[in-house]
Amino acid sequence: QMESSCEGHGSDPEDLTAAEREVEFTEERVDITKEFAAAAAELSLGEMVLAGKFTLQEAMSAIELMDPKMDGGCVKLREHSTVEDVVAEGWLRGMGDDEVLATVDATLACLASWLEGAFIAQTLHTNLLMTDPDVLSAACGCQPEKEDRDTVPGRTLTALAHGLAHLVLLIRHTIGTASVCEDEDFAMQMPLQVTSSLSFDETQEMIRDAEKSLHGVGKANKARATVLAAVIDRLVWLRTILQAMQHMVIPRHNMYDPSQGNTFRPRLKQAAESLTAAVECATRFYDTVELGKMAPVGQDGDYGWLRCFIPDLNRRYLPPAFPRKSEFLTRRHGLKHLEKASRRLYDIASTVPHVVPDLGAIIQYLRSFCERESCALTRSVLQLVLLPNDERILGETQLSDILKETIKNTTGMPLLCNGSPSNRSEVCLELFEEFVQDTVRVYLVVIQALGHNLARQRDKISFSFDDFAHLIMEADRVDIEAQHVTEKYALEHRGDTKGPPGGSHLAAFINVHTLRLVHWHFELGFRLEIFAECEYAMVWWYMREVLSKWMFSWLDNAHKCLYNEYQTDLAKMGKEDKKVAKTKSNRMNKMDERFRKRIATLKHLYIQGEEVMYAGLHKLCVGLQANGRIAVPEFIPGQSERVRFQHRMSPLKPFGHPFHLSYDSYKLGSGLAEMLASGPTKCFSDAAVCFSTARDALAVNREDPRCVALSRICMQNAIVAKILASGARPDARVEFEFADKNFPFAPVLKLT
Amino acid sequence: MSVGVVKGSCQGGVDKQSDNVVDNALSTLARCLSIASTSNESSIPGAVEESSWPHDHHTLSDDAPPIPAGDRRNNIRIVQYQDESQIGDVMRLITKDLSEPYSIYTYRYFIHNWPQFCLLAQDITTDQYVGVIVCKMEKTLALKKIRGYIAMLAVDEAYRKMGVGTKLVHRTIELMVEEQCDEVALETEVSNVNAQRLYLNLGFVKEKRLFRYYLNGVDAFRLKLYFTAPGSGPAAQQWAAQEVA
Repeated sequence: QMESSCEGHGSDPEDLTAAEREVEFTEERVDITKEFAAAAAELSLGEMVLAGKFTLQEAMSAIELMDPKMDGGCVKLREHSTVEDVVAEGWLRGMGDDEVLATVDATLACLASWLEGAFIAQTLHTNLLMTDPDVLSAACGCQPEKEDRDTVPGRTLTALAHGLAHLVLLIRHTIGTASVCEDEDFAMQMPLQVTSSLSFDETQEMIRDAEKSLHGVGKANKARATVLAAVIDRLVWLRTILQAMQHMVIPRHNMYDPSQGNTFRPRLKQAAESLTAAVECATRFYDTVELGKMAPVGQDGDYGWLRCFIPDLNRRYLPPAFPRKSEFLTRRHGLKHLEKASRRLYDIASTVPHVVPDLGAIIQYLRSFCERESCALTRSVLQLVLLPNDERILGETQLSDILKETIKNTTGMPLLCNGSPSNRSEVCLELFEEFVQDTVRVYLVVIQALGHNLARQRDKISFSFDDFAHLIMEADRVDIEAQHVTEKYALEHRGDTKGPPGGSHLAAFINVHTLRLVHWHFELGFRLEIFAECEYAMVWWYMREVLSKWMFSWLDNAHKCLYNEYQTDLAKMGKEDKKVAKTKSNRMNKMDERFRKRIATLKHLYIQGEEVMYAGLHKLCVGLQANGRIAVPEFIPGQSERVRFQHRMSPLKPFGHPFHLSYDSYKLGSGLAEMLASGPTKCFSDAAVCFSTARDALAVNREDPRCVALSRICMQNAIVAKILASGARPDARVEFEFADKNFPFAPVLKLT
Repeated sequence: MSVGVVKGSCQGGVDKQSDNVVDNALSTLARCLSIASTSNESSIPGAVEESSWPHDHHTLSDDAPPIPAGDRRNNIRIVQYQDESQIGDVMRLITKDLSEPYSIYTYRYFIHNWPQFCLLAQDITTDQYVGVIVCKMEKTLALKKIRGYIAMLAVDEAYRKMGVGTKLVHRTIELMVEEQCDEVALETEVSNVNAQRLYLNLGFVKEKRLFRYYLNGVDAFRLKLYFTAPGSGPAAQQWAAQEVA
């Protein structure tokens, strides 16, 4: 957790300037060119001077002094005006509305650049007026606001400065606390300590007053109303975003104050209200940018063309060998980014309450959140909304309780049914509790892993596989014990199991979740464009033979378990007093409904036809290998493909059989040698059959948009496979077009 | 300041190179003096480039050479780096496509520690160096695996699409295999499809994607060519975890 301070620097722009003024350099320059060349001539070719602790490794960090591309300090640092000075000079006096709007937009675009990983000292804090809100307020306060014109710039920029000071600290706190961002996602460094002496509420008030003031001016001067309305939109956005962030994210003081006792709960309903307003304003940003002053050369650039921006302002705070290219988003792009972020935050506030009852739904939401355009901020907010303090989701419900509820709903486990033999067995309950605690620990890691950028996520997820392998073993132990206890009871009670019979309830649960995570690992491989063409055959074979088949098997198992529970409940109801018929039929309807819903949730996890599609893709790739269109490089003949396979599979090693396979198992199981021997034509026509079969299966379900999309893909692929099989286009290249972002593992085949 | 080594007389070619290096040093010093003497330089170079290591050094273009390839393809021989006299050529070949200069020490770090893995492609008809590859090889502490790393690869524009790059990489890998290398690694920009094609054709795979790896914000792929099976057990897990960080 980094503190925002520049105490270490001990450098205030003004202090340095004063220091520089005090020291006087006396120079006596001696030209040592000849001596230097002579000394160098004494070295032999290739000889260098090294020291014990300074070797070539250290020398690599050398920069060429006075080369502006390497040496950030080579051009003399200039003194810049202070906030007070510029206000006194009259920067704000008479600033046109269009310049005010452009300045606000440029500042917000800089905020967006910061959110996208640029350094704050090179972006937001190059707007001089944002660097000291308190001084700005004081300076503006001293200016006689004779004309209406003066109110607008002063009030707007002061409100902006204070608001952004709060927002920046909130954002930094959020991202730092969530800990799902690395250097590449976000730059935490903040050389300038920008603070506002106003409290959060006072800042809100200041922004609101500015809005009112501008509104008043607009009413009195119809000609200015449009531009001022645009400025007001920005101010409202800032105010409502601040509100929303405060509702959603645990405050800093809560974290360090033990007396608060982990009590923060995100106020998502209020956040959603604030964000509705924020999104509404933000939607208007893009089209109103043009009302602001335009850059002279038509390019926004580093905003140096705006009075308040001094691109060089903070160069002294950057490390010496660090003249990074600053990525400045244009106003349009920057504001668009903020609009998107606002929508993402609204999505969190409105959706999360609905997903939290089910662990699977939570994981699914986390996955889909980063598929769409998330950023460092929105991912961090989601993390802190889900787990603000400890293991309680939304600060309210223990993750272990949600887990148990999810297990109950997806498996109907007898251990969770009151009065059943396993429910009464202390051993069973203890084993189950241990499983729950371990699973919670693993899921806390998974939830955090899913908050990282996709590239990091893929690796972090794979580290959890070892944990999931252990959970599978634990689940088996629980199921076995529960089964044992149930059977024992049944033996002693004439076959009555007093609840659903034993089965692999917990194993079904954990295997399904594991398979979904492994599928995600492979899906990310496609999303990140990691697989080479020579690996496609192996990957799609694995997705079919292992992931799909086992998913179907475990889901089928879970289905049976739920059915058993349903039957048991029906039987129990049948034994009850038949007098209360009406309530009984209501209860039966409810039970039916519940059963149907649970089955539907399970069914949703497996798409009939997807499996066959993978088979088609596999066969097609083997066909392309057979006719030489996909090269399978063997740097070391007989070894290279084997070793490539082993390395791709290695994250799955903890699972052992059946999720982890050896290369020989793959070759045997896929019949690779036979397929290659049978020739490309047979492979292509087999692939065509697979695609057609898949398409038919998918076409049945017209309501599920996933099935509709995949069906279309399969139809296209069937055509291409048939063409290849017919030999009609012998010279055509086959391209894999991963066009549908929802299905990165299901390309459309194209012939070129 | 980077000053090359100067040797007095003899070795005509060496003289020329060493003169050039000294000239560069002198002009740099002169530049320093002139910049230092101006007081209020108002303009700052607009976009300053990054100087840290992460930069894609695999420069191979897609352009067809203006001269028919057949004329030159067989005139290329691969030679090993000999001495400092060649470092100018190495730098010339590599920095041609880069917009910022690298300190000579960056080249020296690789080439002086692992000269056996610095190979130059030479046109035997002109004796000109037209391609270069710069690498290193180290034993990893955790798993005791030996990993080769291709730091830079460049081919002169006029000699591209002739397999020179592939030749250089292929020969280097052969040398690494001879030294019991377990794997060879490199990074390249996700948009550098030419480099990826070259390496993927040799059997490299994309081990992982590195988000915003390069300082201009572009993602990278880490490519790997494996020779031995992955390690197993807790050491392997630990190693993999370190790799991510």
